[in-house]
Amino acid sequence: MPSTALSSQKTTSQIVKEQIVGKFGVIIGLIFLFAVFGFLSPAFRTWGNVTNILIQSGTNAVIAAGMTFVIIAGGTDLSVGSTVALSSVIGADIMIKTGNVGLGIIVSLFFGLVCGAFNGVLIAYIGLPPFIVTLSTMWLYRGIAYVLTAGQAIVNLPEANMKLALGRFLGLPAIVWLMLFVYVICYIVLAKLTIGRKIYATGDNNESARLSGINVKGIKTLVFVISGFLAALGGVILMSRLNSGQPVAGQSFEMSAIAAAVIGGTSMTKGGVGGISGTLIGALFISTLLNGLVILNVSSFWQQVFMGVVVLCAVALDIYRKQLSK
Amino acid sequence: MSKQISKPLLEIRNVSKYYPGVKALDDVSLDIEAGEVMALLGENGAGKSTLMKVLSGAIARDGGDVYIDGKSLPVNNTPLTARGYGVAIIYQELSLLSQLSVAENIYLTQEPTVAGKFIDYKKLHAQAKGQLAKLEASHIDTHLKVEELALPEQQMVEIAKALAVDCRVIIMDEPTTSLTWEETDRLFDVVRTLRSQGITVIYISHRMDEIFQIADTAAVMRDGKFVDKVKISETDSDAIVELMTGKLLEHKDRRVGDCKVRYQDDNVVMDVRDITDGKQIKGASFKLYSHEVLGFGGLIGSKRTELARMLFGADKLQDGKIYVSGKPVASGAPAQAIRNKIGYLSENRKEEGLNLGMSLKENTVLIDMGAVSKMGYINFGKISQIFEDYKKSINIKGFADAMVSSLSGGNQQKVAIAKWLHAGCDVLIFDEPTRGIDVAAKAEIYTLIRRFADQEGKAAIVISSDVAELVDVCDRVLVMSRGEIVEEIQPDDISQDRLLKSIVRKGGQVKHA
Repeated sequence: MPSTALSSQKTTSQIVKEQIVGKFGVIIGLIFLFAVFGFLSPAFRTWGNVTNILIQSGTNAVIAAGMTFVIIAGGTDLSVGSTVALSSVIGADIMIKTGNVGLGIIVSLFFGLVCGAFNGVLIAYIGLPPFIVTLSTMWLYRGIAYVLTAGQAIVNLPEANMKLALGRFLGLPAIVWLMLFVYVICYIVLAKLTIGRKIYATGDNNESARLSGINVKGIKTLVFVISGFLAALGGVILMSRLNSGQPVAGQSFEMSAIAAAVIGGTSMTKGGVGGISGTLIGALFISTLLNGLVILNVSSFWQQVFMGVVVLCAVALDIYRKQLSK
Repeated sequence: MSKQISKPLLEIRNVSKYYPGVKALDDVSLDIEAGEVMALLGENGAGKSTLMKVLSGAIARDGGDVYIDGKSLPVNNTPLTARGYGVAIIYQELSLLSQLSVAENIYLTQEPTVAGKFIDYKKLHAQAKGQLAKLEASHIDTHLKVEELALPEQQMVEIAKALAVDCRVIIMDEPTTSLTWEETDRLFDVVRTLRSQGITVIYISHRMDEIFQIADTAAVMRDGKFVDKVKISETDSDAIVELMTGKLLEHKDRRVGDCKVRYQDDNVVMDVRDITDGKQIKGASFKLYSHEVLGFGGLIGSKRTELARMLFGADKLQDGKIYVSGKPVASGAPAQAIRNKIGYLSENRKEEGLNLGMSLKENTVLIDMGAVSKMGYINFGKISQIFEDYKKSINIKGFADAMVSSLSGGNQQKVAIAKWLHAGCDVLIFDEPTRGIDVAAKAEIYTLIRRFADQEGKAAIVISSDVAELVDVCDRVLVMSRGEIVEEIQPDDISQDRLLKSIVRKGGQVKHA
């Protein structure tokens, strides 16, 4: 049929509006949140508390970075919380047995890779849907963690394990430096390397990417491997802070990670949309919110209500953004 | 059935439909009798589908009237109201619910009930059986799920569903495209049964031999206008083709003596030998020469796209060999084909050809990102520079950083072409390169295709359902029908008339083995 689509270029005001709704919306939200809590509570607006917020966001921010890769490539990874548990109990076990913290961390990260690769292969090469695969492995990995430990936490880890949680460098906690390092690397991969363009292309339109000669199966596997690895790294941070490996660790971490990515502007409804810097802001937003509510003595029940509202708003923004770009 | 004397069942009066810049239907008037089987003919874009969509309520008309049995069909016709007036359409893609039973589908939303709420399944199946019996298709088990039926049976169910709401006019849009020969025969029996019951059938098909088998009359459309309606018994296929093309087009033999391709073995760029996918394509062989633009003509369903996708590795090749510049190439995935210097511009630029959510410049370099990066690190300045070069040379109207989705169809297509030009292939397959594109952009794209093929060692394949396009841009044309190459039309023999006759006549001639 003759369809003369007379769509034109976007006007500058449209682009500005999109940018505000998209990239800067969450930053404005974060600043607003800081202003409100800072106004209401003197305890909130101390440097010590700000450092606290940064430390608290560490684990989630690192996991959410991996989640962002998966979501941009058009998938979702519900198994990250269980990957945290499985990789950290294995790592803790190695630390106890060998007394070598470094080896424990390396083994822990390796099992993160394995968990991610297992997800990725099932999804990319067998063709199973990401939601179902990672829902299953969420139970599978957690179950293995329980079986290995008989449900008991692995405690009394070597003292060196606490170095990450307690260490400081140039006035900032080591965890914060690690988090920033992860985000710089992820930013370079997603925004500056060809592999990043391939991840976006695969998420935006799988078939078009395939017909452009992109190895879409490889890309899909890769993003789950990245997600598994960063989940394990999040587990290493947690293990250092708790100084133990716990099979119950990481419950519902997948939800916080998805929330951070979504608040940061990565779209759950359409692949190929979003970016890593937004996710960092999103993770900071979540820990700021929770931290502020705790300081203001708001009950943990209400904290959940606020989280729900924030994520709903983020999703609504996502839909609004899509309508704008039409 | 009404017995009004000589009053046609369906009267179409001065119906018009406009799209921006196009008169899709231009003052169309046409009468159809009860129990008439009318073939509706015309080239792509002639307005057949638009007219049928107006009748069946898929789109609203902009002017004119339609009467069914003397009753005026409302302007804001919907598929539901059209059904109420007794008009049903059976599309190529069937609209049945595959998980429901045959009977449930036939009486969907009209199920007989007990106490007004509960479905009376006994009665439902009895009624459905009755409907199928009317079509002499009582062998179909009404308890089966629709997905368990073969395609022709599904068509029967669709027809039975139409008849269940007292249908007076059934429109069939290329119903035989995916049917085998025997299945087509059975469908024709059903059409004859319908005719004997006084039901009007409007039959859209490109297959001339089918029309002469089944239709009473043939109405021809061209450029949105109704041209003529003739009795099948008083005409022949040549006369109909003339009506379809219009005599004005006879002179368009532009390529005679104009072809510069050297048809010699030392000049072959790609040599395809007996390739098959084991299903739809049956042993296709052809050679492609340097500087050549080779056309593929055929009806919808002639499997040209399937052949192209196989050459490109997008679909599995089961048997046969492909040589590029004399060397045999492995055909696995598109990535492999691109390494072999074969490119494929998809017919669905939105679904397969472009990444709509990415910028113009990103799309342009997506296939060959190696050229714009060092050790995987992208040089964005270089991307912009490459895009600006293409923007100038092929006249893309759009900003480098704008999303492709914000462009018009013609400009999107140019970005898709730029993407393949940048990929540096020797053989580029253009699948329906100008579909949905305005006339000015069409001419530019033809120039681009010719310019590509003018390079030493390069050659293009153009798949098109637009005969004029094939004549305009191709040196040589292969005609396909039902997965086979059935005729080769040489450079000095190409004309619209010649091509259309070949396509329409060969369309139905190859029987399934």
